[in-house]
Amino acid sequence: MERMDSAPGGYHGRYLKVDVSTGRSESITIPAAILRHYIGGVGLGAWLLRRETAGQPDALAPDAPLIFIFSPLVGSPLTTSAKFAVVAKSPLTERINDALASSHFAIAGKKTGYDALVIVGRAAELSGLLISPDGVELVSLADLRGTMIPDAERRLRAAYRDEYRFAVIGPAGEQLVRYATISHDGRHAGRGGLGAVMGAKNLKALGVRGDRLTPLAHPAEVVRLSKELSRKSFGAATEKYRELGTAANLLVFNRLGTLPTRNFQMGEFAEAAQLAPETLAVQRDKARKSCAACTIGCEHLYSLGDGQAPVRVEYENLFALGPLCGVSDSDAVLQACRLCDEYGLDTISAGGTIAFAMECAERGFIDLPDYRFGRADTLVAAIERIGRREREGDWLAEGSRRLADRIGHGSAAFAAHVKGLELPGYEPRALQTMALGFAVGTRGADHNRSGAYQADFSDDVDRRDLTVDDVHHAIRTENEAAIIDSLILCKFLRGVFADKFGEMAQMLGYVTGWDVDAGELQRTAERIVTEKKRYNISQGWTPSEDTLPERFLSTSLAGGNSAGASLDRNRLRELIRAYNLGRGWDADGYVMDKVAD
Amino acid sequence: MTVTVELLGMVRRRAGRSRFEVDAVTLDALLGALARECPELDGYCLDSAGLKPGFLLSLNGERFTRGGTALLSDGDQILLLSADAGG
Repeated sequence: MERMDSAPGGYHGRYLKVDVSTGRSESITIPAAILRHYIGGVGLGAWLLRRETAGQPDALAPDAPLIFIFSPLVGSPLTTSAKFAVVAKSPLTERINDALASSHFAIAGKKTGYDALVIVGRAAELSGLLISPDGVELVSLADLRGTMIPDAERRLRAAYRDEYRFAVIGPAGEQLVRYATISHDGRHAGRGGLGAVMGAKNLKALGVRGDRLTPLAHPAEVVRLSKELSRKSFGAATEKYRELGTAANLLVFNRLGTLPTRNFQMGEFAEAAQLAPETLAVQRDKARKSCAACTIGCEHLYSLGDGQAPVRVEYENLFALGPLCGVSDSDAVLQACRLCDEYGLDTISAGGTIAFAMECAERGFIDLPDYRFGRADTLVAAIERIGRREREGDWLAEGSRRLADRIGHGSAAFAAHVKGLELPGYEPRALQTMALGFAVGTRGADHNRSGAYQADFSDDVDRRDLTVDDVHHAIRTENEAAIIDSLILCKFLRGVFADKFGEMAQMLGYVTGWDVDAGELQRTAERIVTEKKRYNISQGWTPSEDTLPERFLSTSLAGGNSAGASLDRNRLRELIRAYNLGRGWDADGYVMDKVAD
Repeated sequence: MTVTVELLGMVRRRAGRSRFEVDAVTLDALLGALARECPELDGYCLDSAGLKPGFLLSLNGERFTRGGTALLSDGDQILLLSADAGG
């Protein structure tokens, strides 16, 4: 199996499709024009998902494809480029889901000789899928059933003498928890339940190895750019991530009244300081790590004591498992973070669903007397039960939307999700560009595919009173994310680019040999966002899905610096209409045939 | 006018303090006073043109700004923070 002669630099020009029901595999050529139109990562993944999906399969059905996809930059010396995307229909949203992770899995996966690995079917028993240039092998991993992610990774490394890099699922993925993750080396393709899709295929692990390299079209220029980008990555634009990590947001958001607290009932948490990295760093041993091939080093790990491995702490973990559940006990929150990592659970959806259950219990809608805001013991116990689908954990494993359907009593009004995906830690009434981004997001409430909060944290808009004239900021930041996530680079580099599209076009051109400029990347971004929308429409999307839960549209924000912030249904509808028209779609959000092919 | 400047995130870490009280009539004047009061911030988030790109002010928690000639009142609170909210 050789690289396609006609493939541009950075590509193999083909993907591998494996049916784990039969073990059969097929190498399929990707036309060069498609590579240029969708680049890689979430862009090419969206195109592949649409191509490989027949009809409207259940997300957990054998014929629903699970796609691991790389990018032309993987394997290059460009900092932060060791990333892969996982793309599938989400069991949480039944819409497109694309999640990214950074690790050596990306480099090893691309060395298999393929730009993407498409998996369908269901193995007869819990298995590992091994892919290399030598072929495809399905091996029994029945003895790993129920193992936590670090243990599974350790045993696989030992069994295969480090020849393969393994992406694995934990007990949550095996149990089809709808927000289970896929993990490698402490990093997670976290959102939307891709671990459950892998579990539904009876795959505990995907192992990759290889020696197939892709040439760079202009290697000297790539090296020069790489050195320049690495140098800039040490500067002020990434300082926050190096010094405090993403958790630095906690006290800032709290002061601004944008820190979601007690299931989005308030925008301020009185005990936030107990969880802040500024406090944790004084109280605990701390270490710092980097992703593979990254010069930023944003990972901050804090000790839990008693010989336990240190815990990686991010803002989203802290917000979801702390203030959102009203919990300020840092030992418990760190323990909850660790358990999510080990079971393979998305921390945002786990915290969001537990917080929702706490409010339902406090209102007397469900008989769970331990579910009270602030109960650290309940938080930790709930995660264990979700990860194993035991007792009430079996309900919570379905996510807040399905849980609200089950509970009734009008609880859907305060189940904080969009399209089924729980909201990340940005209070939408006080950050209204982000609110729009959440509402229209193809994968649901999401701060990574829509970077609209960047506009809220600027002097471009009034974050508490967004108007239709501001909607272009949501489109702009979503387009930027589409390109960054397709190249794939770390978003924390955003601040180092003076001309984002221009500099990224130069990077892509030197790797591939294409004469690509900023204007082309702008059109590519629009095409990628539209491709994701087309997939959702093919799976039954309707305009009524593009909204926010009732709480955000009928209740003003309480507490803190943003108290009184509100966003009503009519204004949101106008913003969404302007967004759709700004995208070149019709006012309801349907894609017209003439758009961006 | 005596106003309070509260520093958040990396700005607080750089300054080694969480708040200042300064006399200033406008936000632009406040930035000048801040550079004199806290030399650690001069060159970091402040330069001769005012607030450097990537940093923001908020007057009493209202809309973000980068300075200007809006008149301040006694007791106003101004937040100073970096604009990188990604997480």
